[in-house]
Amino acid sequence: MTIPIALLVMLSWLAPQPDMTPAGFKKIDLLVAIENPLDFDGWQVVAATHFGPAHMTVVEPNVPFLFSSKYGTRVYAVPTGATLPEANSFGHTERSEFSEFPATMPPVTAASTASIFSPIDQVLTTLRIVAIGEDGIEFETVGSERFDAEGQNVGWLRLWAMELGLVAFGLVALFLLRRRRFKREAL
Amino acid sequence: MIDSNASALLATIAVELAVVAAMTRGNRPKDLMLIVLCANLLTHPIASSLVHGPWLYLGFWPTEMLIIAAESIIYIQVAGLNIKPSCWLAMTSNGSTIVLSLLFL
Repeated sequence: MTIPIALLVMLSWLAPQPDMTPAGFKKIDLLVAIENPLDFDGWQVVAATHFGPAHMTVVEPNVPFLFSSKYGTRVYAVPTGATLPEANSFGHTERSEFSEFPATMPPVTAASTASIFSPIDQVLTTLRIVAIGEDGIEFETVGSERFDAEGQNVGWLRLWAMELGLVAFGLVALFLLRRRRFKREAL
Repeated sequence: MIDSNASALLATIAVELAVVAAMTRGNRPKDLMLIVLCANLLTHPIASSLVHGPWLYLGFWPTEMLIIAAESIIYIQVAGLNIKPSCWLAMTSNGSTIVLSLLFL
């Protein structure tokens, strides 16, 4: 029973971080880049949080902005020439300045938490605007990349290195344990 | 989500070791606890990838059935248990983690 108890103690030691991140997990930054925000005459593209702290970004081609599912980051198509509200000018929950503009939540499917052992620090989702209409903005997903804390791309081999190592270790250990049993039985 | 899930692995190992320890108290084949530990190191990452589907998506329940079958075979081949107790151990230990995961996740 020593090993299970030790593992449970280890789990409880992995205390939750702020913002309701489960024990053993860390928050990761979700970034969104849009390839072609300037391709649509008469519109400028703006990303803004819908809830919580006000945060607004005028979207530039391939320049990432922070996405928050918690604060409902939406991408707005604002007519060129319309006065953009300053981020500090609207209140903590008031977003009425944006309500008249076509808006869509960008299709970000990456999770906002990862295991504390994961090398992932940021996930960048690259999108392309297909159309802007009265109902909102239509996106297509171009791709998704993962980055570590140093900004290096995290490939699948690095992402799965620990799992592959555990599988290999488990397989070899089981093989050795089976051989040990046969030796024991042969005596 | 395709992140490595070390916390889930630790929890699974802790629960399955505790269940197997309780079930085999007083009549435990040699090395069984080590075999359970190694079997989980082998099967958990595979199960995780099959449930989250980065390469091949199988879904939750088919994956659990596959893992129970795989662990039963491991207990037969490595621990030298008969088919019935092997299947019983694999079903009970994995059943416990399934119930806990459905309750708390």
